[in-house]
Amino acid sequence: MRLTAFFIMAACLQVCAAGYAQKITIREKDVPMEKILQEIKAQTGYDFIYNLKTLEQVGNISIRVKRASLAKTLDACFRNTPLSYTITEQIIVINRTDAASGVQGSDTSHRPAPSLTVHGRVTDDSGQPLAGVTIEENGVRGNVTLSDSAGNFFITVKDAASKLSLSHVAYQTKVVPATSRLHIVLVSQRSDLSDVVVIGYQSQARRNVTAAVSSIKGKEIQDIPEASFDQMLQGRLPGVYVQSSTGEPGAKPNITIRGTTNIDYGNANGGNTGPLYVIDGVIFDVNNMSGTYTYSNPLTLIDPADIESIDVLKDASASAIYGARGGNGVIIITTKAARRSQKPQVTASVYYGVVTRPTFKKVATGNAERLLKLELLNNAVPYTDLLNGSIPQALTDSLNPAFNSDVDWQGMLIRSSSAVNNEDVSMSGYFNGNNSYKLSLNHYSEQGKLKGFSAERLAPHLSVSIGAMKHLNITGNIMLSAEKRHHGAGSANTFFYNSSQFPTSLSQLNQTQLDVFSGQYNSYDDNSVFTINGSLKVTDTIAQGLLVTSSFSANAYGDRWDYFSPALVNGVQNIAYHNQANNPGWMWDNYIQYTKKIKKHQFTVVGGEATSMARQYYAYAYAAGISVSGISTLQTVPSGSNLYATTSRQTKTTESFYGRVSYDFDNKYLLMASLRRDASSIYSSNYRWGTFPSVSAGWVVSDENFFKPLKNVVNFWKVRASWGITGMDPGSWYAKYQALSADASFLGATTGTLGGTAAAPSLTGTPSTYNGTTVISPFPYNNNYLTSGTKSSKDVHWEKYPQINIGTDIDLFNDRVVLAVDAYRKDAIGKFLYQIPAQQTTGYLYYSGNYVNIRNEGLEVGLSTRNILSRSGFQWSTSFNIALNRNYITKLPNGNRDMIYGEAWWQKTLTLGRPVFSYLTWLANGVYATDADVPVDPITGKKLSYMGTALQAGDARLLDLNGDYNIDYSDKVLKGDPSPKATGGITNTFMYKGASLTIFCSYSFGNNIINGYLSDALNGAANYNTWGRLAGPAAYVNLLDQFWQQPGDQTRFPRLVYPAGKTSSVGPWNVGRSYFIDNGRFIKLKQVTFAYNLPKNWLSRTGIRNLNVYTLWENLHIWKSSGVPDPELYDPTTGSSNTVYPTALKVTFGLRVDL
Amino acid sequence: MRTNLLKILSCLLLPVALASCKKFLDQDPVSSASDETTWSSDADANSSVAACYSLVRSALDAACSQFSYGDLPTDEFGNVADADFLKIHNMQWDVSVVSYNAYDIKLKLRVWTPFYSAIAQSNRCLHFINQMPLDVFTGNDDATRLKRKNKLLGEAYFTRALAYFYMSRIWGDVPLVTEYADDISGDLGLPRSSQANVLQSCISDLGKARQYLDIKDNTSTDRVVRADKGAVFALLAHIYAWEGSYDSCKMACDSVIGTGSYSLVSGSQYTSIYAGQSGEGIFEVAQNSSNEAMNAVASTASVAYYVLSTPYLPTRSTPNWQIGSGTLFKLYSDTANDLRYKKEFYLLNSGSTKYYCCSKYSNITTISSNGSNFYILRNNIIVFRLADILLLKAEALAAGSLHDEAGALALVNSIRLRAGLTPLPAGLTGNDLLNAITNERGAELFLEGHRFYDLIRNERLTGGARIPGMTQTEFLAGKYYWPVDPSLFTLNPNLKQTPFWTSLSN
Repeated sequence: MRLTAFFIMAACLQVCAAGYAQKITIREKDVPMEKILQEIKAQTGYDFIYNLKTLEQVGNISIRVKRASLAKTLDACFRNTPLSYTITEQIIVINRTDAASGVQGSDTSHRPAPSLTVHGRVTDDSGQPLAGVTIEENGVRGNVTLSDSAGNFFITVKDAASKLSLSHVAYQTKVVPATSRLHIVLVSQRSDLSDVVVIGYQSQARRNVTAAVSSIKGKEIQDIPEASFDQMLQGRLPGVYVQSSTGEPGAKPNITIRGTTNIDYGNANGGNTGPLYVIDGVIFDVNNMSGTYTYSNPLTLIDPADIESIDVLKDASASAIYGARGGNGVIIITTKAARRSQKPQVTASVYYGVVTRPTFKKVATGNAERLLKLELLNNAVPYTDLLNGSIPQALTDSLNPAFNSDVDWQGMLIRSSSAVNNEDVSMSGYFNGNNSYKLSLNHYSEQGKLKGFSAERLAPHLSVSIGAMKHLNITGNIMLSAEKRHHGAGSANTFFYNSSQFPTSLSQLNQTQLDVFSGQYNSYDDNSVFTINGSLKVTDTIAQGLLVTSSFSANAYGDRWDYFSPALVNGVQNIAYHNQANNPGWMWDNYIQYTKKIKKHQFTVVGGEATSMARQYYAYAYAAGISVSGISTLQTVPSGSNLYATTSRQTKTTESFYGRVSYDFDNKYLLMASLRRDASSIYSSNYRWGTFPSVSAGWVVSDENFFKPLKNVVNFWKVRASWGITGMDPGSWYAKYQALSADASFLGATTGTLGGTAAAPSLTGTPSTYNGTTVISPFPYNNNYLTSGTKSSKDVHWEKYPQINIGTDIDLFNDRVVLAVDAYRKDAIGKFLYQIPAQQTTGYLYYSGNYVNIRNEGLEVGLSTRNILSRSGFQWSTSFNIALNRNYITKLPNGNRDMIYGEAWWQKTLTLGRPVFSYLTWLANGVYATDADVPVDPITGKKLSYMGTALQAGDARLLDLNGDYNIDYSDKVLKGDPSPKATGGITNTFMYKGASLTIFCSYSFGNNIINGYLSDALNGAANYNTWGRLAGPAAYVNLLDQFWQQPGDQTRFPRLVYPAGKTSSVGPWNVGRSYFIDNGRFIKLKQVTFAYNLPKNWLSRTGIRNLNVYTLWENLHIWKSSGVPDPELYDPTTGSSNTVYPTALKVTFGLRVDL
Repeated sequence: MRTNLLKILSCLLLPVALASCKKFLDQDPVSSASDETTWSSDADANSSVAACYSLVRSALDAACSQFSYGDLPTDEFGNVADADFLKIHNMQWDVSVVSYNAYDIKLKLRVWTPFYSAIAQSNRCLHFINQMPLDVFTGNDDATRLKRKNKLLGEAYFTRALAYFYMSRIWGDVPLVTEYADDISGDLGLPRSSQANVLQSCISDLGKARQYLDIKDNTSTDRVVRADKGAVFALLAHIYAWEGSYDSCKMACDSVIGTGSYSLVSGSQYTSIYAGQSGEGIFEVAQNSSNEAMNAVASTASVAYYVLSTPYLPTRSTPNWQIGSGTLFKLYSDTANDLRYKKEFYLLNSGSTKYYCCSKYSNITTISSNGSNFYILRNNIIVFRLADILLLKAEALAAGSLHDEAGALALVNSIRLRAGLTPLPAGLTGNDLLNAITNERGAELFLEGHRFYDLIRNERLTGGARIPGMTQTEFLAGKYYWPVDPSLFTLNPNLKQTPFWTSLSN
């Protein structure tokens, strides 16, 4: 079904392409040759390449053809002229037949006859012939020709001392001495110096950029089997850290550019941590969009195959033009544009693949499990426990066939392989002169490794550009995306990978239980995301170099999630949920660009103004207690406390003015300065406007005369420095308003409503009245004993991020080694903090405001080398990047007092001089091997205790920091840092002829993650009463020797089995202990691609320009030291990795066709 | 080109015009309430004032606080099963608690934040209601509208005074905040103000409240649970009594009695007092409607959970806070006739143990679902009632400069008469009379949050040590003022520990 649509579209395009170029009808008398050619172009879609003067020499002609073929028409055209033509891939190249007599100018007759005719052939470095290369005789204006489809050309030059210059947009220009026979190999543009880098409202050649900008071509990531491009950036660009919390298909990753500044614990207030995305000049502010499902991603709007290039603005000088939105960095996406050819360019690509199963954990099953558990109990549990029958029957009664199952459920509960497939088709071209269009369609579908999960997307994109008047261009752009997802049991948690719930192999699961465990029981889970992003842009060239642009863009991100949670899964009753989030927004942006070159001075000036509005609508409803089978939405439940609904609306408006001047002298001394003023409705009028300046400068040292002697080794060297301030807003759109609530609760309060679980129903309800009058105050009690009121900051203002960057770009050995190094210091000044402890006499528990400063310092290195460039065509190149970052807090409120977050057993802190959200834990140093090892307080004679409970053999040896012989909260220490210190990636590419092999690894070092995966599992299995139902210790048999089991054992972990009811008093498995802090380092063999470009001559008859086949393997291997399945998956603010959805090897096969 | 320019200019100017319209950048929240968008109608002001009461309610329910402060550390109870509440009973108020254990009642009772929330809300009401224009208040003319506005202000003054009075009795000296603060980020922490200053501030607040508030409106559903003139005078009477200004106390009592709005319910109707809004209620905290009630078995919150047992609360086989029979039979020496004993207490035989249980708070509604029963406690917290004020006046007459011992005795006897008891013999004087009044208050106001303070006033007057957890020396050192929890010192370098407990800190 899905495929059909794709093939129909592809077929249509084929027919259209074939439909061109057939019957031509022209009747013209005595008109310029050029007019005829234009007519042919219009009728056929073929482009012409010619020298205008050559045509003018021919003079006017007459022609009369009716329904003639192209060849016939052209023959008729050029009959009786000195011209001939060749047809190459829809391009008709016209040359003089008497080229020997010179093709230039009307003064031919006065020039001495040239004496040398050159016959040449141009190929690329893989030996493929190159068409369309411009060959020009140096110093002779107009003596130009082009290579044909076989790469052949001929040109007549003055003499053997002449030089030929060969140029092509994708290759390095080469100058060679003219000889009669030439074979020239053009080397593709590798140094990227001439690449265009988009820096916001303007673009620059890379050699002139003075800011820290990292770029990647869409080509390098387009085939990676992920749903959105942001997931593909991982490890590709220095300083751009892409990290996920889950391996669920299509899930949104977290992107951090140059270190974290996020102090919104658990992103409870929206976080606002993402970079700013700009798509083809239009801001797509993901931070303004909130969805219903945590991992929904508005960026699936963008078809990865549609991306031409991605430029990441990292330092303040680049992103300051986006002012208050640029603090987290700016990611600029440029989509592919139509090439100047009237013939439609059609590209189609597909890949199909499988996602294999993740690595299974080693599990003991059947009798092995039973013996294992009994052995553990035998050692560890007092005789009374054994006697009183609290050992599960499944363990003791081996003869009962009901307990004789022997199943490793891992194989039963997840797919042995799941499918992933992607289809892209695009068509673009020019029509009627200056008008162009581009239409693309993407379809992506991925089944979940876990049954009950999937993601599927359809994303069409249309852009049309119309040259309405000579100077006026109108561009319309519309991107649509419809996405449908399933999330197993109505939430991200799946029973299977929730490691505390892993079922024992001894029990027999019925189909319903299997369905529940594998996230399939949930019959109704409908998460559909619809995103639209459209823009209309008018550009007027008022005078030479002076452009005025007005652009209006609008976007809407809608995320709707309806699901049904059956009583069997939630344990209470059948509940239907409805969540709907809508995020419409618009922006109107008007700006002027002016470019002027006076001798060697070049100026570019940009100035503009923008207004924008963003809205968030949210609706949430549920109906509990649906008793009629077959109903999955909110029906049949009468009005009352079981039918609940709430809606909300938020609005944010902004207004901005901005300007930038860039100047260079002789492309050698580079300067740029920008200023932006932003105002936002978030702030009160006194603090509304923020000013964001920047300056940067660069010096191309290698262009200096004194550098000439070194130029053979160092062919390009630029040094640059920048300073600037960007900004960020606090996430909450109403931070300046003192929030009030209608909470009249008190401890033990009830509204007489019954709630709780089916197993343990209870009185619930939060009163909102006092003696019937609705109350309103900023002091909600939430049935606790303290108000949770927060005093809002009246003077909430922009967070400012001043940043200094010093960098250099060095190209060595004729671009064989390209190195970019950047050092930066990025401060975040006045970070908005939501819950700062308040003086208790104020009545508030917290206040909020701009009180925290954070610093990120780092070094980024990008290095690409071409290691082997052999004549045989074999090439090996390497691209490596590393980003080192140090993150620490430089200011905190309340006299720099520590801010502590999380439950008592789960604490993170903001501490001066330490990384954001460092872990606060008890340090464990093994266990007490015997009772005698437990220290005794010499004064009281009491044994060392944990919260008052005396410790014994097998308990963790926790550091008693304050020496009071009792382990309590004051004994916790700071240990572990959730932010990586070094991240990056390395790509090795091997090419031979049309074949290429690319191996990409990403890595991350220097962070700690919390092994919530193991902690959950151990907490789940702590009580051996559950061992008859859950796998418990059988699910981590490879760790068993690390637990204390009998006196004398020196182990890493405390005793595995506690007598009934004793676990909680010493809480061995709560994560706030150092043995759950793992080193988060890893190296991942992320992608291996083998691709083959079919030789052109094989394709010449098929009408296919290019055919590329490839296979891509993703997530091949991970080298790690942590015990979690994938240390790349963790929650970015809590640092906890309790993988509920693992990553797995994906293998895809694809092909790409250019027609 | 010129036309182009014009076009472009208009394109550029239009959004500028749009944006420079200032309103574009003013976006008020519409889905959540805020100070900036409320405070504009009578209902807003009324809801905000209602919040003052609900915050007082939260404070008094935080850890059975009304009873934990006022009754638990007295001779009313002989034993307490719960280890934490036992420490409160024994006045071991300095037991160390980990500051993260916010649920721990020992910590909760040492933390004054809930009272300051109520005070902050009162300060907010005074600040914002004063700024509200008169015409938004309900009323047909400016005079009624002004009266309405003043009533709301008067209530805010009352709740502020009530919270400070509670705190003064609990902690002695406490920080005094009487202004609304727009920015609290620069608050470096206030030192404690002397109790005299704090109580003077309460008296001054009540001076305004008594001008602004009317006498009790019997037709109002808010009668007695929101402040009126009677509540103001009752609170004043208690403040004066606590200060030892018994002559002022007597005048305040007279003012309550003089309103004529209150009458003693008949002896057969005792239990109606605790359900709330009876004829003798003067000020109560409302929590007797089904959707503002206490879960009867809520641990650390519901007084019923601690003092009741089966049959009133079938899930409790024995009471947790166990009434001391010695005190009980001293207070109710005539158990055969004392209606208070007969109506408000019951005997539970559990095995060989006898438990005497107080059933004042037993207005329980049972909800059944799927075979499970749930119990909702619907009793108001009785703060002041007429019998209390009559006996307080008796104390004032006995202890004040008038030494009207006969008048005092007559008041005591009026209470005894209602209870079905014989009058006390004439001629009681001095400490005997004071002790008799304290005893009568003990019998009348058993488990109503008064006993602890009655005994302290008695001890101040007579010197007799009658609180079990405190020697006379400790009394003189001020042990009856609670320590403040160490967690309150974290941000406040100006705060000092309550003197008695400073010497004990370890």
